[in-house]
Amino acid sequence: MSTYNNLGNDIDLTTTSTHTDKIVYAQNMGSYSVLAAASYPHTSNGYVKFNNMQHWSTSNSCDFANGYNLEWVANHELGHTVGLGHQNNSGENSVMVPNCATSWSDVQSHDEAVLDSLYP
Amino acid sequence: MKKQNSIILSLIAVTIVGMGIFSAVNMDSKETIHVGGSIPDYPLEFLAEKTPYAIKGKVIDLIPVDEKTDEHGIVDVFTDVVIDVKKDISEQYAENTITVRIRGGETDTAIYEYEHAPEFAVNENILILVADKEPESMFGDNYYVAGLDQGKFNLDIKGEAKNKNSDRSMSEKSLEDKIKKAKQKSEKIK
Repeated sequence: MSTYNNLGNDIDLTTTSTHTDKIVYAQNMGSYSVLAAASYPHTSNGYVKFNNMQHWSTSNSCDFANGYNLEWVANHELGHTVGLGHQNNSGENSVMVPNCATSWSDVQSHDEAVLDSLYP
Repeated sequence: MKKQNSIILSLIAVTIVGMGIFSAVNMDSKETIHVGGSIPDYPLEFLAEKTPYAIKGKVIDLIPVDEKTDEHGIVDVFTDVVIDVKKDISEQYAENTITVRIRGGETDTAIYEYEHAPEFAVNENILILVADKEPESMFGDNYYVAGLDQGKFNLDIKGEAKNKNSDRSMSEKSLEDKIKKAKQKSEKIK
């Protein structure tokens, strides 16, 4: 979160008072549906929403059987909100690999390099 | 007289071309809004066990749904997909058509594309795992595709069941067998 908040632009993930801030909330998005969804930058209302029908967890797990670590998923979704797409190169350690993995536990050095190029 | 006719024809032609250009410009002016997302890696057998229907059929219509704005002011756009039902592998669904609601579609001003939303085209032959209605969910009192893009298979090539994720694609027979087996396990079919 601090990495994203320190990008130096108008993204503020801790308050939600203006359209450039991100609204974070939970919603019933269906029992067999997404974990969470997030807007990309430059939309009038930026948001991250979590599916409150999913099995959320605080343990170091991110799988169907053991539940999904909320912080890890938040790290991934916040990546979308600042403009990061999925990292489809399976060899790359990134918070933006498509399927939840331990690399979602924090913003990785690869992601920081991409963010540096997006927010010089 | 001949000259007059050719002038009229020319005017009509110019008008038609002009309308075409106007439409194209209008189409281009629509903003595309991408929404990112993440989804669990649902096992096929789990989806088959948990869903009431596994429908094979043909898409016959795509109906835009009025956009919805939630209590946080966030707009969601949905489309209703109408399917001519050929068969329910669960042997439970009795109607000739079924309508499932998917995220995504067009409004007057924008095209909304949601990551992991299943995509359909009219005349497409498909097999979908249908989640039961959850009136409190964002899909409202409507069926939706369980597992979203993981629960939709294209059957346009005979014998093949293609999923958006090629790792989930298989033969149509394997897919049906797996679904039947999972449903028998959950006693959804005898």
